Amino acid sequence: MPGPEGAILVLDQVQTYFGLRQAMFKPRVFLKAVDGVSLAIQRGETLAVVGESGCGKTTLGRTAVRLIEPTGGRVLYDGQDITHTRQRDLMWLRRKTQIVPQDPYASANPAYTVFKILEEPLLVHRIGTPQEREDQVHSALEAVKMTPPEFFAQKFPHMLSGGQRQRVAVARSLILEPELIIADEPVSMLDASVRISILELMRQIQEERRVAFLYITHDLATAKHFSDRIGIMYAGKLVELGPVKAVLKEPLHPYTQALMAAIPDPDPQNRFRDLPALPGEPPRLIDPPTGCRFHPRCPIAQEGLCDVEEPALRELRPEHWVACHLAT
Amino acid sequence: MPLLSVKNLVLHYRTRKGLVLAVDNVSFDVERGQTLALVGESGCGKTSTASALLRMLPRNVGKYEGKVELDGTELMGLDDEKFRSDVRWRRISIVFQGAMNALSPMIPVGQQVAEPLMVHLEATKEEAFAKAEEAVKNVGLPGYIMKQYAHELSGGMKQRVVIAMALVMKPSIVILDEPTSALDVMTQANIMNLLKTLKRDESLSYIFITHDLGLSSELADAVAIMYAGRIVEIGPAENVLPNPQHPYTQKLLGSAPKLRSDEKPDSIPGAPPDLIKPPAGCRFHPRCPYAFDKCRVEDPPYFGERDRAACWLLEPGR
Repeated sequence: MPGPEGAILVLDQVQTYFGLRQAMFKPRVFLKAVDGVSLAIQRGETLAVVGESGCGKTTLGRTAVRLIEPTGGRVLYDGQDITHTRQRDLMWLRRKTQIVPQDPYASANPAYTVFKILEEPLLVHRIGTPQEREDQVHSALEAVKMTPPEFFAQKFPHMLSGGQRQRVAVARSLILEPELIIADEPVSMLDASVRISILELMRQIQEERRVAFLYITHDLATAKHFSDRIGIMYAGKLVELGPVKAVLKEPLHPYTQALMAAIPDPDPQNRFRDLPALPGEPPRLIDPPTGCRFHPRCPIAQEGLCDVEEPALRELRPEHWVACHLAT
Repeated sequence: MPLLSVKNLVLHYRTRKGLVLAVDNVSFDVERGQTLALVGESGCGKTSTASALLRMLPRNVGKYEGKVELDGTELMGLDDEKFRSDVRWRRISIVFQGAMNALSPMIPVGQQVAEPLMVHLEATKEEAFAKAEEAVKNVGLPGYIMKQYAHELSGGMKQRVVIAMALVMKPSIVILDEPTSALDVMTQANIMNLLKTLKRDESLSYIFITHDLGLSSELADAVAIMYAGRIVEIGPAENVLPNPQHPYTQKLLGSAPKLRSDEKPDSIPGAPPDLIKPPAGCRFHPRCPYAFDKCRVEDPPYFGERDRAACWLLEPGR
């Protein structure tokens, strides 16, 4: 699989299924949110995982840092198998990995000041004296450009704009000096003009501190500008993986191609033509299609092949992997 | 003569902190069969403009005035009852942002589409359902979904139902308030294609409210850029999108990451102003890289012919 040596995080054929009972007395069925995903994140790199809602990208992120226990496969952090480690033995992992949540309006405790929000992780991990903690909170605020820190530390979340709240969330994820940050749609709730400044901030932090990012998003355009490699997910599967430039310049999977074609750039001629859009909707993850999960919507699917045999990821170009029988 | 002509529309809200100047002297025309895109960041007054046009106002209105002429009828002079019975939904309707999540879970969607026909046109149940089914098929849905409930439909199908509801009374103009904001890109593309087809086949006019300039170009014949309760630039899509005149429009275009170019997106420093105490002079001046003394004092008028922008940089002879 794609370069696990020296990786900070390796997912090896990870499956995360959720058991559901659709009605009383009916047998349990499984929703296959993540179904056999393998990837590796190197120290200090940003890997974007892009997909539509319900494709399993958030579950993948939560499984990667063991907020969810996978039902199959292996999760390795820095070479150590953490697939089934008990939560209480994972305190060290909680310090090394952090999450930037999606919704800056819901994720901060409204009764806490910014100072308390940022100090809490330090208290949980019993780090430093009160004076040291104050210094750390202030330097985290400076790192996210909320200056003067003394001024912002005493604010409550409702006194801050959406962009400022998301800066606090980024500061909170930094305060324990983690090695890996999972950013799950960190800017999807923000306005266009603010969005870029938060992504730029994360990029800068990553370069300065060599933090690895798993950037989970539905937005190909921001993934293009703010990550090193990109993985495309469809219906619980990774369908394409490679360097951002290579994947977006020459998308090999028909799904990636369709996803790109559906995003318009501002051009006054756009209104005179239809957007190339695939019919149908992503499948239900309880009973996904046989063979390639994309075959019912795929414009080039071949009967007898794509609907029968599941394609494996193969390295079609250097470092550029695709799970499609027909890609060449 | 334009289908809809809006002149000096004002909508202010009363709050404990003071008057919020949500819509502050907004003027634009929408031509028959054409689309005006109203583009801006959240809180710039796009949705308030829609509420003002449909006269769907909250209780704390401080000031509501201006001239709105729709196909020869002056709307602001009509009393509320007349407006409700003759104008709203019959001649001008709206697809609300997130409306697909506001469908009743208890009533079959077909009945929800048919309801305005029974209320407004006093149609019989059979007539209303027949017309509703026609509207549902017109947005690319199979007739059998009439009997289904909202939870049985996917996001894209629900959004089609909501569009059918806005079209069932055959209005001449429809306001689309972020009609695809809750949808995935592929579903969004399908809905945009539907809106294009309806525009072409039924020569519908739209006011298309969005924060996404790329998406605006899918429908817009004309583009109006809103900032802090005002339209700062308005003109044909052919002018505004490739060659924006106002610094805010330029910055807004530059801040959107583009999929097909390596041009680095650039953020706009600062944040939009508080609409209770907007900055003096040009409201964009605190964030504008080109601001000079006059911008801080005097409110700029529109300059330009086809593409009009409110910016002192464009003053002739400067």
